[in-house]
Amino acid sequence: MNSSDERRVKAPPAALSGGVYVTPAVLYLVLLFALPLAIVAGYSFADGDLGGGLTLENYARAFDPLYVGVLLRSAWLALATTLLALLISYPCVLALRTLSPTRRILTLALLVVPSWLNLLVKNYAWIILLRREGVLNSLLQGMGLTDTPLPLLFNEGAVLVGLVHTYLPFMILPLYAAVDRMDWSLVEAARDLGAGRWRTFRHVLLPQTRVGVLVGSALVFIPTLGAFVTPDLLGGPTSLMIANVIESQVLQARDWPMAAALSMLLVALVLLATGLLHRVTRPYPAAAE
Amino acid sequence: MAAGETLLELNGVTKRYGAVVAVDGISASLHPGEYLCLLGPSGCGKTTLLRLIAGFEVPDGGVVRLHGRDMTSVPPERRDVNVVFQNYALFPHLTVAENVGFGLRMKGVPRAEARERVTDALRQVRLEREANRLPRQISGGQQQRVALARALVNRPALLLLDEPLSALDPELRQQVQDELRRVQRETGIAFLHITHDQDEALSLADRVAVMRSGRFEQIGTPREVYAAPASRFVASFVGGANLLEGRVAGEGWVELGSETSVHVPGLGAPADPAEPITLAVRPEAVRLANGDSGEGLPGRIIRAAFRGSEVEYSIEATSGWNVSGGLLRALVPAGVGAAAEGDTVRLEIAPTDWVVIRGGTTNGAG
Repeated sequence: MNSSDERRVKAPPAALSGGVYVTPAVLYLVLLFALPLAIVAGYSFADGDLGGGLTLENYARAFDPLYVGVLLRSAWLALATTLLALLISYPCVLALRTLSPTRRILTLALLVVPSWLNLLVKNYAWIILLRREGVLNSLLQGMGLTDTPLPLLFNEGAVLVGLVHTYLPFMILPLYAAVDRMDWSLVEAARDLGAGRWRTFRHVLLPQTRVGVLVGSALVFIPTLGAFVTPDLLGGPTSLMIANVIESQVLQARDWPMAAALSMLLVALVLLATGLLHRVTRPYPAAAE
Repeated sequence: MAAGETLLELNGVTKRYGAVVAVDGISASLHPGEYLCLLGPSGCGKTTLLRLIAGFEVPDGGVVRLHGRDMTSVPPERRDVNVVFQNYALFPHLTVAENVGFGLRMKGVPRAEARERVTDALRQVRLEREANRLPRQISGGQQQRVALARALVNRPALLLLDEPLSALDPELRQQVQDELRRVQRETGIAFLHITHDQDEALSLADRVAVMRSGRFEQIGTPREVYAAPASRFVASFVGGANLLEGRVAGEGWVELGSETSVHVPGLGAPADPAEPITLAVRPEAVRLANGDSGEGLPGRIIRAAFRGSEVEYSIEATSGWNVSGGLLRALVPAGVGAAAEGDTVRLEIAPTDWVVIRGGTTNGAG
């Protein structure tokens, strides 16, 4: 029996079938993503009173050092979160590999399941741990390590801790997949050829798990850039992120065009990050002939 | 390199995985420049032994010595040993030349010298033109040669090859065998080559170690191992000998059954009367004669399989003797006295073709 003939008879033409299958996704994205984004983009060029005139005034204001500073802080916090998550995840994933398959799945579940907890709950938990009369300060004082409670909450450090906690599983999972898929004899080959542990990591493990590292980094960096709840709850006035500023523009200043312009800058930053990622995730650089 | 000098010494090396003893107190030695094949069925522990020598595993007991030095606490990267992995383990993100140069780079060999040595190594395995390709852009046979070059370029004292030919096509396998032997002679590096293919072991090695259940059953030249197997297992695994159980019936005579005895010169006097003994005979040493009566062991042909230059007969004993496994294998040149399935035959075996294995059934064949 000729299976390719059979397939040709049964399957509808590729173009048509493709069109049918993606219709729900296209509708969803157009109505709930592209359209709202277009509206926000439109607002960002609107006059202060939404009177109908077009202006670049909002963008000019958005580049005020105040806002640029917040954008830079957002980028810095997102980057720091990504790097911390990477530093925590990599050894963790390597340790997972040494466990028996059953324990490995169990440990992985223990790492991932808590991330299903509501974000608010997680952040309130951190407040309880970090506040002046909180668990950590009581502990430190009880042990006599400090006389006065340390300012652990409402600063960048607290935001960073909260963000890393929230997004860690998004780093662990792709990294685990990459390490798990890797041909482990490559590591033995590197050792055999004289590479110590560090150089084996640098020359073999890291290049071989590069895609996992980059995908994990993107999954942490991009949502962190627009994080709202964590800096709102754990941060102070000096650790605001761009989403907090956008919120206050909408709810307090009632300046929708300004909020829209800042949102578009955030979108641009995310696109930039995604573009960079796309450039570097090509599996291997093409060999010179 | 004085004769008798020892490069690698294994002294009671043991490795357990839980209740399984993978390597069971092996002691052996390897001389500089020697080609040793480690021959055994899958699961006999030969790969574990290689990993112990390479340093990927630490023995639970015994000592691995290289150049007389205890290797127990020496990590793989500091052993004067390199491995050709079964799946080659080439670095996919590095070119052929970068793969070959990896070891030199790790050891801090100056760039100019490294480049020269990489070029030499690639020339040695005839891959100069593939230097800038990635592993996935070259064929399996070429990948195998890259793996060989990548190990050889470091000029180790000992090269460990883990089933290096198992992933290759049969016709390519012969070619790579010749290549291995040539490169080994040219470089003078000692090779320890792991295989489950007895033809490969016999044709390549200076010495063959036959391994089974974590132990060496026999170690010797290919001719010794083939002609004078030390155990039933070696006899049947190397060359597929037929094994017949018997008892010593007197000087030079072995009783195979109630009414069947064969003459085995050089048997010597029995250690004790009626000592159990195993006789091995190679399939190609068995000749078939027609007829129900006459000299030789009586049998019936169960299957005749044409193999081109020869015919392989599977023969069942009809009376008076027994063969281990129930069927005796005979290889007869094609065109010599054709016999058909179902024919009754007499098996003629020259007295000098019997190989005596003392110890009877204690070394039951695997």
